[in-house]
Amino acid sequence: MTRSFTKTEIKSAGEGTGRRAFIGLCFLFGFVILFMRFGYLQVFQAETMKLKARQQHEKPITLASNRGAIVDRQGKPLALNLDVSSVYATPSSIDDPAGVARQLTRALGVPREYLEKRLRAKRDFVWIQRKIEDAQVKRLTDLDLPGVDVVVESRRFYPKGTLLAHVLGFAGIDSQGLEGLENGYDEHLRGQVRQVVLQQDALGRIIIPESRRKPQALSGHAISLTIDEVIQYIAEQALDQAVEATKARGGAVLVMVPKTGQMLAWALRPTFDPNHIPQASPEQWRNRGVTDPYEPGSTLKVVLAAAALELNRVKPDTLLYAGDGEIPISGTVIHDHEKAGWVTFREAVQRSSNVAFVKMTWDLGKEQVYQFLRTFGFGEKTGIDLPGESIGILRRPDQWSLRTLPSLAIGQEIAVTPLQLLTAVSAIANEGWLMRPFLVREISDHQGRSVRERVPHIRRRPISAETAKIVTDLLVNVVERGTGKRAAVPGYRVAGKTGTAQKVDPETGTYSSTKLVGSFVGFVPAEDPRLSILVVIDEPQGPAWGGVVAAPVFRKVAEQALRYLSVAPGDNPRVVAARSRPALDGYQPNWE
Amino acid sequence: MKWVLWTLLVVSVSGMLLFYVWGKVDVVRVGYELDALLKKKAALTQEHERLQARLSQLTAPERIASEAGDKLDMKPPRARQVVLVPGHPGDENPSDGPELPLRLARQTGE
Repeated sequence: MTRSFTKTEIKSAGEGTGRRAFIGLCFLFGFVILFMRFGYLQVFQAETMKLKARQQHEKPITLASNRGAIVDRQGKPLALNLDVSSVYATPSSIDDPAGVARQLTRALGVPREYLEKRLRAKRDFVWIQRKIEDAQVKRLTDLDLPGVDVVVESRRFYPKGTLLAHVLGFAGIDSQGLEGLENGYDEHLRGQVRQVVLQQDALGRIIIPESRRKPQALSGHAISLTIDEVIQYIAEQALDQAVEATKARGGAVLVMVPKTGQMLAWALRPTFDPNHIPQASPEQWRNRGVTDPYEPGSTLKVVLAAAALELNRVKPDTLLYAGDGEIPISGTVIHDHEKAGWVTFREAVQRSSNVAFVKMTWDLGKEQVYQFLRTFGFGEKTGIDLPGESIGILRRPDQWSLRTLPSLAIGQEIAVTPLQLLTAVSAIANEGWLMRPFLVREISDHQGRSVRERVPHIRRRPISAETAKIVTDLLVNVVERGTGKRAAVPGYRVAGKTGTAQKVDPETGTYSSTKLVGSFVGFVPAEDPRLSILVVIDEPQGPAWGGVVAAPVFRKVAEQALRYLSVAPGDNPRVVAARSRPALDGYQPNWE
Repeated sequence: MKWVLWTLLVVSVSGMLLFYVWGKVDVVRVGYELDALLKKKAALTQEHERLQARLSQLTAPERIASEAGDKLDMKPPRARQVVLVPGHPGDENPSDGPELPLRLARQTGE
């Protein structure tokens, strides 16, 4: 059965087809536009879009590495890292720099003008304040300021405060080593900064920690020192007491293991706290143990006596004429403390006779004296692993005046660093072998694996073992009967020499009668030296004799340190306690 | 028969897709957990460093000497109050002998 359409129906159908065609065309047009847009984005904007997508789902971060720790020979930490917060701002997202600056000033205590200037900078990132206190962080977090945020950084921390400050030095705001070992070993201590990319979702949560698959920031190497924290404390305490008692300008106590050159203590005054560098001055943090040469006075006679004995010019019983206790030298007079007449060489050392030593040095001659001083390490760096070491002052013989040789006999016209003098005297304690002093015994990586071990290094042998033994006996005599009696340690034989040197007055250019340096250098036990110690007291008020101001400090340090190291007194100093401390086990002969 | 085969194919493919998606979702979930643990580890490491620093401060010789003297009224022993017990020969440092410099001199070549 067929049905015929009415005219109206036909008209209506025609309109419906046209409408559908119109809608179809609209869709077609829309799809064409859409595809063109797709094509444009996919072909022409592909790189830009990829970049945008990456920015949304990837989160690049910089992993700042920690500096390696510094520990003493027992593994006790001397320099560590602590996490602290730093404040930064993104000026582009701050609408009211003046208002934000005002609030930041209240929270951090930083001048408002400074902050406002930084917040108005046309940069994406500015530091507001680095390494702030926890209380400041809390105040800042409570404010919840737009465009201001906190990031965690690592700060160097010295838990023992001033202890060993001159040797440790300090690191700067960006954890870069600036002074001392922090500077000298910066290459090892600072880690490697790494960039890593993390995947994040739309809410900014980390999806898969990519850092697990990529290299982590490597922490710096840890450094193990030869210094013993306890002996360091003993030395600092004794020095503090001496400086306070004598109202001295400063002082130094250096302690070394003479057989290896390992430094056990390094105390200097004045000092500073490396945790509070802005409050310290370069005068305080300069490491005078290696940077400041001084005239050693009679302590140099140890080296001159060794030279004369080595060259066979004298023997302990050789008679020398010290006369009336004075000798004219090129327009000036060198005095003794007392008239001595004829004295044996042993007595000359015991009394520290200037006249006898002037005559003996004359007999040695310029070249020999110069050569021996050089062989004992004066006029050159000791090679210790600290930056800024001075070579001291030792002129060549062709630059010497008529007064130079007799002046050298009493330790003038030569400037030595405390470390040079201690190293030279340690050679006598070490059967004539001159060692290179060192402070770092081992460097290990962040997993505790040893990267480098320092071995004792012999520089040369200025004198024979026989000569060293004779000099040791002479020095024991100084402590038992001579000027160094106050350095005697009950139960032990101490070898040492006192020194009292005049300082040059910078205003007059002549030797001052009031500015003096009292010193004592020696080693103990004399039979089998375990410690060599130098004490220098700079410009003490009142009596300034080395035997009065410095020798008691030696005794105090030696007595406590020997007890700490379990070195038994008496005839057999090598007998140690059942539990031998690892303090002196720090080296093995097959290190190198 | 054909219908059954098609059904099996569709179910298998769907199953594999579901398994794949489930795996991906699980990886993301573990990722979140890992991230949380890493944050916890970082916090604990930070706390450990802080405690280590504090321990180091508290065990400083200066503080121990001060506590011993002020609170416990202790004094350093006099020389005769200390008795050292001789140890076994093997306890001595083997490298401490007088021949050491000679051995080292050969080794360093100087």
